[in-house]
Parts: sequence; C-alpha cells; structure tokens
Amino acid sequence: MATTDKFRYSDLDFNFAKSATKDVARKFDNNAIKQALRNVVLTNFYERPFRPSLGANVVSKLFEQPSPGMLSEVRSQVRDAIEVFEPRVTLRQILVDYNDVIQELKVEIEYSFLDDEDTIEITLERVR
Amino acid sequence: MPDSYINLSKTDFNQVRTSLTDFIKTKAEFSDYDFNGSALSTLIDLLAYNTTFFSTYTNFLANESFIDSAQKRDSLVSLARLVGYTPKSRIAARAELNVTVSTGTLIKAGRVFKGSDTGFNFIVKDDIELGTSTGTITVFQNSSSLKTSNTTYFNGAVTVPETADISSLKVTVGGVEFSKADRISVLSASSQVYFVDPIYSGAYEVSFGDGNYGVAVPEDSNVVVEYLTPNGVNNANGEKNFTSEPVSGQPTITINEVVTPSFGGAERETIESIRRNAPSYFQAQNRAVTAEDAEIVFKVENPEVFDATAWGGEDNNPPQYGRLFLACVRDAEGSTFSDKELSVFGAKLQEKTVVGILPEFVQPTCYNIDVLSGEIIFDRLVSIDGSGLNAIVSSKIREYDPACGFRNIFPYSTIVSELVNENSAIRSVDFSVELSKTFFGYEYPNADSDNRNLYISFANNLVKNQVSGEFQLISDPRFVDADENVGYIDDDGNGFLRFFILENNTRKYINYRIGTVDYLKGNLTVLGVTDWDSSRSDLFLRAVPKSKAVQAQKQATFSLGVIDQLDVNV
Repeated sequence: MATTDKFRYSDLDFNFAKSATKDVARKFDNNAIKQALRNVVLTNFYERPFRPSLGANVVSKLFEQPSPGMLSEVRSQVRDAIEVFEPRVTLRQILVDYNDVIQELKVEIEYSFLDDEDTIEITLERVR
Repeated sequence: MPDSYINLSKTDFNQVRTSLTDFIKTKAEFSDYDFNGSALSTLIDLLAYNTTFFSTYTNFLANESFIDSAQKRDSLVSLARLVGYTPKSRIAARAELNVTVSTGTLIKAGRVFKGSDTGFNFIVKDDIELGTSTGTITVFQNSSSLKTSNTTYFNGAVTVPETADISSLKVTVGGVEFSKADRISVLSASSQVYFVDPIYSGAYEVSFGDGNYGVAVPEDSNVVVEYLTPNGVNNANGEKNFTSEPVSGQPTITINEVVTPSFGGAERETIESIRRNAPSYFQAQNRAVTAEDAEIVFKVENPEVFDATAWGGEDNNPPQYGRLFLACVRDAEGSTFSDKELSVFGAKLQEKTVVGILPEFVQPTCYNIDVLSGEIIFDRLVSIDGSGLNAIVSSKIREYDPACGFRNIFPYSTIVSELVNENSAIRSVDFSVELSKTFFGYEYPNADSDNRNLYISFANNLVKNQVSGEFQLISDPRFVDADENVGYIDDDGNGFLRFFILENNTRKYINYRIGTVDYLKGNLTVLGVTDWDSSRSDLFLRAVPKSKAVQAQKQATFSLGVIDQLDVNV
C-alpha cells in the first residue's frame, strides 16, 4: 500500500471492497470518520470482547415501547458515545425519530471536523 | 517511534492490543488505529481477542499436561496413570463384630447390621464360615445389602463407577476368580489376572491380559465384577452401636461385642493428594527400598490407613540398623491399629522391602503442646483495655493445632505474624511453648511399681534445665515433711533427671539419677519411679523445646493441650 500523506485520517473500508490497485480499499478523512461514527452508533454494549462499554447501545432500543423518553435516551446515549469514542468530531445536533408504523428508528447526526461539516443518517429497522 | 515488530510475550487482551497498536503506529498506511469506531480498531480488537483466546487455551493446555500444574481431575488422573499410580477410590468403612449365630456356623453375604450412631448400614460382603457358632466378622458400609454386580463386559473392559470402592473388587471370568495384577514383569500367558486403571470422570476400568501378559478374555466371556458402593464414606466412621437385621429363613445373629468400631471410610483421593503421591509412588517403583518408598507403598497398598510415616532404624536412639520403622493411624482422631492388624500390614510390606530389612510398626504417641505464659502488647488507640484479645490469640493458636498428624508443624512464627497483621489492636504477641506428657495412674498401678519405667521421645531439641515433673508421693517416713506430699522432677543440665521434694519451700534431692534426658534427640527416660502413688495422681513430665516451631517426627506427634491466659499490657 502506498503512503498517503495528503490525508489526515485513513482507515480500511469495512466492506473490504477492492480498490483500483486490487488491494483492499481505504477510506480517508470525512469518509473514514463517517464510517467510524456509524460503527460507534451501531455497536451495542458488551458486543466488543473485553470492552463492554464501547458503543451507543441503540439497537437494543428498537425493542422498547416508543415514547418521548425513549427518544431522549437514545439521543443522550448517541451523544455520550460519540464524545467518548469519536473525539475527532464536534457534535452540532442529533435528531432522533421513530416511525412506529414500520418500526424504524432514524438517527441523524450533524457534526463538524477540521474545517468541514457534514451530516450522517443512520436508520435502524426491526425485521421481526 | 516504536520498533517495527510485534511484542509476542503478552497474553492479556489489553497488552496484546497495545502491542498490535504499537506495531501499526510504525506503518504509514493507516492512522485511525486509536479511534475506537474505526474499522482498524475493530480489527485490532478482533485480533487481540483471538490472541488472548488462544494464549489462554494454550496456557490451559500446557498446565493440564503436567502433573505439577494440572487442575482438572481427569488430567491429573491420566498423568498419574502414565506413572502407574492408581488414585484411591472411595473406601468403605469397616467394623469388627464378635457375633453368635443361632443355628449353624455360616453367615451369608448380604446380612445387614444397622449402625444407630451414624445411621448407615453395614453388610457382610461375602459368605463367612465361622467354624463355630461364635466368631469375629468384618462388616462393610454399603449403600445396599449386597455388593454391586457388574456384567457389562464391552470392548475388553468393565467400567466401574466413581462411587465404587475398588479395594473391594472381586472379578470372576466363567466362575473362576481372577486376582489383581501388581506388576507386569511377573506375569505369564496363563496368569489369571485383571488390571484396574482410572479413566474419565473418576471411574475405573477393569481389563484383562493380552495373551502374553495375563490370560486374554474374549468378548463373549461371562465376566462378573463385584464391588462395594459405600454411601457413608467418612461419615460412617466411628460407629459403635450395631443391630443385626433379621432375614427370614436365615439364623438369628446376636452381637456380643463391637471389637473395632467402624473406621477407614474415606472419600476418593483428592487431586492434591494425587499430585503429591503419584510421583512418590513412581519413584518407589512399587518397592520399599528407602523409608520414603515404604511410606508411599504402604499407604497405597492399604487404603484403609488414614495416615502413616516411615523412618529407618538408623535414625532411632539407640540406632537399630537393618530395621524399617512405621507408624500409622486409622482415622483423624489418631486411633491406632491393633497388634494383629499391624502384623498383617508388616507381612504384606515385607514382600516389597529389601532382603534382610524387617518392617516394624510402632504405635504413634501424641504429646501435648502447652501455652502456659506469654504477653500481648496492645494498642490503646484501637482497644481501650485489651479485653477479648486473649480469646483471639487462643483461637488463632487452635487454628494451627497439629492434631496428632505425622510430620505436622506448629507454625509459631506464622501464628504470631497473622495475629499482628489481622488485628490492629495487637502490636506484638509472644508466648511460651512447652511439650508435655501425662502418664495416667491407672496404667501404672502401685502393685507393679518396680517395673514403672517411663519413656518419652519428643523428637525435638530441648532446652537444658527446663525439664519438670510432678506427682503425688507414697506414704513413707522419708517424705513426712514434704510440702503437699508432692514429688518433683527436674534436670541438672548435664543429661540427668533428678527427683526432689520441697520441705518448707526448700529443695531436698532424693535421687540425682532417677532418669536421663537427651537434649538433642528430645528423649526422656525415667526408670523405676517407685515413690509415685499412682492411685492418687497422674505423673506429668514437661520440657521446653529449643524451637517454638515444634515439628512432629517419626512416631512422635503433637496436639494442643492447655492454653493459659496471657498477660495483656500496653
């Protein structure tokens, strides 16, 4: 793999896609951060071995009765997780919405990093 | 910048993770290794977990491969099997009863004798032909009235469960009784023997020869393995009251006397015991060449023995060359075996000793360790007046009671350091340790006073001028003015015991050579104490050991006697 000094952050692509050089694809800067944010939010407590508190524990909320309290709790858990585990970003806003018709939880995170700003939307759906 | 290699010496998850991270730090391709949400961090976690899992697994595997470190019983048993050691199974408690049968002289197997103290049943395991209507029989504790009969001979072996007493095995093939093989070297193709080996989960396996060493037993043979399955084990020991259960069609059995209360019942060998005994047994090679060999071989051969010790006659005082001495007890209380039982043990052991070496059993003697004085210095900031500290000290000392065990030590310094470390109120503690023996008057009647020779072997170094003794004097004109009519014994510091009385608190020596004391060996001998009135008192002898860490050696063992109140000072 070639070195890439022009990027500040570099990470593996979690999809392990093939790059143009036929090596494993990589993600840089904002893309790497986006992938990391998604990973933190979608990780449940006790999911990673020996690191029980890593993650936002949001997936488990899908099976709870939706209520304003629950949405507030999800928001606070996502904020805590990002502040602790993803210090590269500064949080602007977190929006949480629950659609009880299709039982879907949507988390929208607005953040800034270095000189850039972006939004990521994570959707969780109960399949059974 | 850390070195560009992975530290492979770590096994803990966090250490492995740090090693991997340090390695990636040296590579320019990825920089997200220390952000928890990154894919790289997830992969590092996975690798670290995998490494930890396999290092732990390998560690377990390595531990279980050696007798010193194995933790699982099955591993230890398997390793012990490699060195030819068969761990002890459960042992059925046994008792000797003198009985009379109403008709005939035969007692059939399966007769039950109920023990009312322990609540367990004892049985006659095989038919007994008394010869006369009265005789002594041995009964064994068992979960049912008959031995278990196992006929499942499969793949060349019969599996005996972990609840069986394998010392009671009786193996017949086509009605012919086979004997247990001790060593393969003496077997021929026609030897009718069976082998017992420990297998998984504490079970045992009975197998037969291969046609070269022992008769081969074909798969369709009529193999019957009988054994006891005691359920009382050590709880069935000490039974003194038996009642015979009547059986219709069989003669009534009257119990005349319980010759020997039940003893020898024991749980299967613990893993720590296997760990200790297997290498010693291998070292002994099933032969009693050294005293250590004799001890382990004797214990393995006689599972009903609770504990034993052995030493060479050259260590005796005076030395008795060409002799092997052993002492053993039947239970934790220190009960001893009868001379008849010991002679049977001796004959069995002699088959494995070196030619010309005679095993000889001596009865163990349990002496007292007395704590008669001492001082507790307490901290007034923690305790106002030091009350209750004597009870704490006394209880701690009792925790370390050597309890008449062979080779046991009274760990003085451990007791003191634990007392100080565990109790903030105690700043220091010091107490005296004395060894004593009481000769009971009823064992030394006045009528036989000429033969009244008293022997003690504390087997610990003694302090000079610290031996003391006391007894009541006979009526004699020589002792008319003796204070309280009491006679005393002391030592002169040169190896002689002296007998004196007190007249108005002044010592008057009657005999300057009433006995001897060997300070190095800890031996005291008092010969012909004819002036002791044994009908009025016992005779006490007491000595002070050089080291307060008293150690039981040879047949001399110790247990705690008197613990007096210690002085409590600030």
